Amino acid sequence: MRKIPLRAILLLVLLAIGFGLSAWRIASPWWNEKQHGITTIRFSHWQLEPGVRRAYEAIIADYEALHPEIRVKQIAIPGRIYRQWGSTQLVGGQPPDLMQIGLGLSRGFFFDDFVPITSYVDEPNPYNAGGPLADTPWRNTFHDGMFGSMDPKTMEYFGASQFSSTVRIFCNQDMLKKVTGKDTFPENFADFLKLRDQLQAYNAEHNTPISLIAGSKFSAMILFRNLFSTQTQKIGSRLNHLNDFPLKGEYFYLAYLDGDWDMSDPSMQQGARLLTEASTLMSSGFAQAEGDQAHLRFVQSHAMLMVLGSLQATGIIEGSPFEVSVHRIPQPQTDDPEYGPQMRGPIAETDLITYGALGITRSSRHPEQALDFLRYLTSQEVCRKFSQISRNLPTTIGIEPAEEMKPFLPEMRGFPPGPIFTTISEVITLVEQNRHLLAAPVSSPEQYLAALEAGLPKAMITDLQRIVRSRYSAVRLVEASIGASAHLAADHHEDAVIRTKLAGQLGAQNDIEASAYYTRLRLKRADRTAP
Amino acid sequence: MRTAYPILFSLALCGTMVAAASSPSTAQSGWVALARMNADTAKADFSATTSTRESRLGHALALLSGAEKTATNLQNCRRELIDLRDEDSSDDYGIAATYYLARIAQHYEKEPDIAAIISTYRDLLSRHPGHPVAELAAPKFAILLLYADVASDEQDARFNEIEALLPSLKHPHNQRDTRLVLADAFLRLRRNQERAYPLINYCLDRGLILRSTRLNQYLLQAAEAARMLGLRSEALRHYERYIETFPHDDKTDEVRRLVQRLNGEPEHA
Repeated sequence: MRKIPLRAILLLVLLAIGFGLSAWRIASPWWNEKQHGITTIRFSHWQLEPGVRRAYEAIIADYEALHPEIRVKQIAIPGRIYRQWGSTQLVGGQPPDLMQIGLGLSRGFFFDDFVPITSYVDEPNPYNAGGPLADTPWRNTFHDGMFGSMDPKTMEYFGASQFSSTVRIFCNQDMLKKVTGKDTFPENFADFLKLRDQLQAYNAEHNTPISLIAGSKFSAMILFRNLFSTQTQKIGSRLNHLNDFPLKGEYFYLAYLDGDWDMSDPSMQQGARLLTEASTLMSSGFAQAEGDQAHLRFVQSHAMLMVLGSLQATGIIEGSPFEVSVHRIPQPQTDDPEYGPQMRGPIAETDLITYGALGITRSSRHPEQALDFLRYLTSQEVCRKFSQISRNLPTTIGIEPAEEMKPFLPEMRGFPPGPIFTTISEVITLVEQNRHLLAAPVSSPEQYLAALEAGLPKAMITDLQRIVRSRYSAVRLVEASIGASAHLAADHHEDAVIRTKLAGQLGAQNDIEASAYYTRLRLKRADRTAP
Repeated sequence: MRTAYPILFSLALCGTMVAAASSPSTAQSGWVALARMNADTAKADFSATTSTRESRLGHALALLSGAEKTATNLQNCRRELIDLRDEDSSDDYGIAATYYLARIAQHYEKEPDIAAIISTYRDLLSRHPGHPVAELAAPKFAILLLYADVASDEQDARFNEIEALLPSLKHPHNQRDTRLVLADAFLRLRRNQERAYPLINYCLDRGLILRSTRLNQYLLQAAEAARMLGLRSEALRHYERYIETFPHDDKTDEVRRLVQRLNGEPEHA
């Protein structure tokens, strides 16, 4: 008899163990449900920040104590693979009961994979009973009125969110004191440049290679967009014929194609100079660096500052071996002789808009329980707890954020920002491909503007044509649903919910359709007058 | 068994929409599913019921909902709509079929015959005034007429034609959308505040603009247009409504400055 090699036996045993573990993992919720009447709800998200996961653990424990027949499991998936992982789960037909929507999941066609909760958002959240929001419709308990959870194409609400974010500069306070002798952070761009010069002097004196900002693609994008929009405030007002400010990027492009402005405009000239100066604030190689490289640079004290969103605050503040302070990005002032003339004033930030709503999947086996858990998560008291533990800005109204999160609250006093070069891919790619011309060793705003001028018309036209196509697609998408709503509204005149839904769907479709035809007309006319 | 849960839940969700229907018929549940963009359930519901003109229209629209996925869906949808129209073009289902055939021609043909589509919309509006589906053509008709690349005189005539259409519209959403399409076109194509302002004001005064993003935009547009037209008290009324409705918006601070300017007060920074 032939002897079976030990390796093969080991391999078989390992395979059997692996199979057994997988089978147990899959079968245990089912077994619990069958044997003990325990229902397991699973929800997935990509918020890997430690504070978020800790907050969820605490909230799940509270919810399970309140509902001993329910078990809740959170599944945290890295953002980089969330879309692929989520798509596989959805296609496989066994996704979690609740999934965080975003990062390209469902390709924006949420109705294929998620159940709308529109009929519930105008009712009070039962978990707010006895509190100040007891009679407030669920939708109105959010800072943004659940705007971030609504699909504008279908006018349906596909979930509820606990996440919102603002972007701030994180400062190594110990290093700031060491370099400047003070703990005062610059309040405007001129002082920001002075801090850069002080750091350069410090580096020369101590033979250190410390950068001012730990540069990365993300920090460059945020910093450049923020600063550039200060220089286009006046041109934005001048081109705003629709009386609707701030001027939308689309109309900024159309005005360019019509010859209403060009790269010789003072706003463009000063904007490019400002970005060239901003490039000197960042560590070299910022255009290629990823966020985690910048993070490492900051915590290792190789840079004094880093640009990040409020959700990362917990990780940075807790993980840094020094005191961290939080600030808005310093902007030029209107009395700045170089960058003031194109400005109207400091830029106002938008209110807290939620993102990444948790939606109930169509294949969920426990949609009622998932809805209940979603209501629980977004009730005022639970949101307060979530905010305190996660250090996330509260998405529900009437909650004071933790003291250390107050610097993240949006500053809504100020002036509308000017338009910037961001719509969709072509213009953004062009801007990013030429960003190196702003940084050393080239550092030439003239070359940067010349490169933009050469490529912008084609890129703008491509992007605008894409916008038109996507609007036509959105119009088609809701046509049958509107037909059904119109039929139901005709049959049920007295039903305010149906009438409101129809009115909303029609309003959105007509807006989108009119905008598509208008942009197409402007493109056609611009094409005729092009040299 | 697993698939039964989401279907049951979806139906339960949809059921709350239709308070009047305690035990909805299959066609009724098909309409509810279609309104929820659940085309597969809608198709099954409409197919399961006795073949009536209502269920055939529902089935055609459920096919239209999947028209992006296969060309066959669109062909079958079109064929059913043509049959419905040709059998009787003046009952509810024939009118709806005529309207959706025009919409398909406009949005699914590679080179749509715009003149023929305009003619269908015009015909629907004149032959069936106040009909809930025929009247949906009003804002579509306005969009096609106003955003065509025509000479200025012709465009003037088109502006007048849409303006003349407004009093005949019966349903608030069509009154609103046709007015707003016209107002936007006056601002976008002519920068004509004088003719745009009363149209926006009409919708604001009657509370027809429900979506907050739209209300935000049109309150500002109305206020700014009134200010430019020298209608100070009107402008203040709209600005103040904006501040009251959107106290935490990023534009509110700017609106407060505009109010101060109108009142002749020193502006805050």
